[in-house]
Amino acid sequence: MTFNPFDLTGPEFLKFYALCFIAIAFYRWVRRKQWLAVQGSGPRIKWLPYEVACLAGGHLRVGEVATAELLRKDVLVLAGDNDTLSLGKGSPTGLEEPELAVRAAVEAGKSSLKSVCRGFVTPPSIVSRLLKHGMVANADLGKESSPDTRFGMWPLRLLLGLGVIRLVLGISAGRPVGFLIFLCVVTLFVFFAWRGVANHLTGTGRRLLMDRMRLNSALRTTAKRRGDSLSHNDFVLAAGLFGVSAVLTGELAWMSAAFTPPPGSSSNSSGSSCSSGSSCSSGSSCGGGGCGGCGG
Amino acid sequence: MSSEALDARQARLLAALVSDAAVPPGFDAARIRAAARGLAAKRSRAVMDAWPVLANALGPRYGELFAAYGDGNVLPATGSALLDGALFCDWLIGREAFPQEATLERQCFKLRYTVSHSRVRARRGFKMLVVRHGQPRKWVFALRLPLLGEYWWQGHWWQRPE
Amino acid sequence: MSTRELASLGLGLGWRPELALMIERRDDLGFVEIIAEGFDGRRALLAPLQALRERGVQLVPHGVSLSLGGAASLDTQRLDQLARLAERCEAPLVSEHLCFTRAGGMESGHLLPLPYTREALDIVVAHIRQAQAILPVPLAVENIASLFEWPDAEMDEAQFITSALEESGALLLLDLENLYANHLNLGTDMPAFLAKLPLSRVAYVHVAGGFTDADGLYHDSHAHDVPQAVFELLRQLCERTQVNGVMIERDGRFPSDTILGAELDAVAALVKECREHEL
Repeated sequence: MTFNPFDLTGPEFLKFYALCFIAIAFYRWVRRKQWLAVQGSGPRIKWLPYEVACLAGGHLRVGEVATAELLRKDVLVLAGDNDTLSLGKGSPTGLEEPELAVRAAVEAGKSSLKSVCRGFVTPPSIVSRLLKHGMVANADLGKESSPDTRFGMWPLRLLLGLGVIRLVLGISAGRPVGFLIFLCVVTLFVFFAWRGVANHLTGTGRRLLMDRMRLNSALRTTAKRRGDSLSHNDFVLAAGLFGVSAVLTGELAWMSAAFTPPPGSSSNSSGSSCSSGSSCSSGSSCGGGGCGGCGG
Repeated sequence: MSSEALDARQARLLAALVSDAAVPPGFDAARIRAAARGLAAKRSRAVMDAWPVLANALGPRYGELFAAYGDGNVLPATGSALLDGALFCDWLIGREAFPQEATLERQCFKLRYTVSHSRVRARRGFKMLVVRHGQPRKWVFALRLPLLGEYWWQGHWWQRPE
Repeated sequence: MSTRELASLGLGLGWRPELALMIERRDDLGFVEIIAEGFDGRRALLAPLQALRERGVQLVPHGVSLSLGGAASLDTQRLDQLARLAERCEAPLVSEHLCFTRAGGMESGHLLPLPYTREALDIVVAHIRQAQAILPVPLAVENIASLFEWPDAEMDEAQFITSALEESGALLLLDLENLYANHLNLGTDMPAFLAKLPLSRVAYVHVAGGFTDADGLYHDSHAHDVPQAVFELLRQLCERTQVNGVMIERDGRFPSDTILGAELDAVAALVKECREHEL
């Protein structure tokens, strides 16, 4: 028995198309997961906090973390417009390389926080071990597509081709093709989104990053509430792994307008979506709130 | 003795603690008032904890606004700090005092939860959110899918936020 | 049910997101207490809690909204949630309070005292039994602190608690700071209180700190250091009975990890000292 998708009626073809699309997406998801799982997370070395920051977010992340730490230590001062930086009273001794680089940029006249962070180049000493052990694809942290972004691309091309042919047939036969056009547009959109997924990490690097994020869940939970109480290393690690806005809490909340957070990060779901108290779960970790204490 | 009688007496005590009802006879009025102040402060802190962006956005006005809301609105028995905050948002909107910066937090709540019979429940199904937010204002789009979680977009794709 | 059937809990701390990092780094905690209303037993455990579980640290869900002493019928949805959470956490027990939190359709958001009468006792015992029938693990109930008392008491607080425990078979979560608060605010005789309680039913112990306000009232804020008087109560308790577990409750004004760590060390040292003394 042969199966010819062009023999299907309009609605049947749409269902067939949608099912194929879901199957391809699922296939890609499974294959990417498998591929990532077989990448080791590299040799067991103690990665430094700024190296982890570089792993998680490249130049921009390192720049932002260094800037935030300098603001925290009062080595830099932020003006009311949440963008203008100037030198502060804090002592420049004992600073790490990325922090020295940011401070030097501000001292040389670059005063916009956004431009300092966006133009930041990670010092080679931070990148060298990552490159040596194969965590990043190249020394300048350029983005490259890793092999697993290709999974499912050919099936998707074929599906799109099928959709377009059917579309042409439908138009020439004068049939309604509105929804099919919509599906084809969505497919094209997804195609480019999948193709565009590139970052500076190798498969091993991504695996290492995932492991680090998992192992530091308690750090993240505490940082989301008391970022101001963290030690230097903890602050850099938390901001490096989870983004600067994840740490700008407590006494540091005044800085948060300068570092735009990802949109869904407002809490509400204490924890992995629990219902009250503090954030639960991964994320707006909840689980807080006290009990008895009437605390006047 | 039926439990209805005790229920009534407990209700009278509770009313004196959470609203301006009279202190039932036999109780130390000064202590009841002190306890009532403690309860109001605790309720305010609980909502601040559950809705931090809102509390931050209202800044120093949070205390007086919440006290004004709390005076006229007792938390229902099925309630929680999350529900309390949601009702507080509605109250603020009614008085045109809702801070813009908390829009996203409120919309997040609507994306993730539904309120039925004065109880907050996590959503199970599909829900979409479109809102303009931030400085400078940008479009934020979020999609909540059953089983698959949340997907956010603001300029570029974000995964499930945490 | 006596505590002999319960495995030893050891040293504990109330788990709060603000303390997650400190708790992860501390390697001598036997258990942490989590506020039940902050978690959904239908979902996977929070990653930091999962990590603690994998390390062998016990998780004890602590409810604050069951309103066991409320004359209105129990909210079975909240009870089911507590039961699910207990299973999710593989908890050795759960705890709640001897109090009421809502009545007349209104929620107080606070733990309110019960009248010490036979009527109230019957209700709380019935509710505890109802809860025990649904919960998969033993239930411990906690004594609360209050600024005021009901008039027309038929017995004192210690007698009320003892009768509630004996008639329901529940365990006791003995909160020493609440006892201290009631001593300061209501004149409760602390040694007499301890003497009356069935100490073999103490599942674990809470210690915490509070403050005295301008009117001279003591508030158990859980946001201040544990006072010396509470340490003294802990010593007296340890001298009378083998304590299964002791934990510090800290909900606010979080100190540095060093200071809180030192407080935990002091608790552990005190319990150890009493044990050695016995031997």
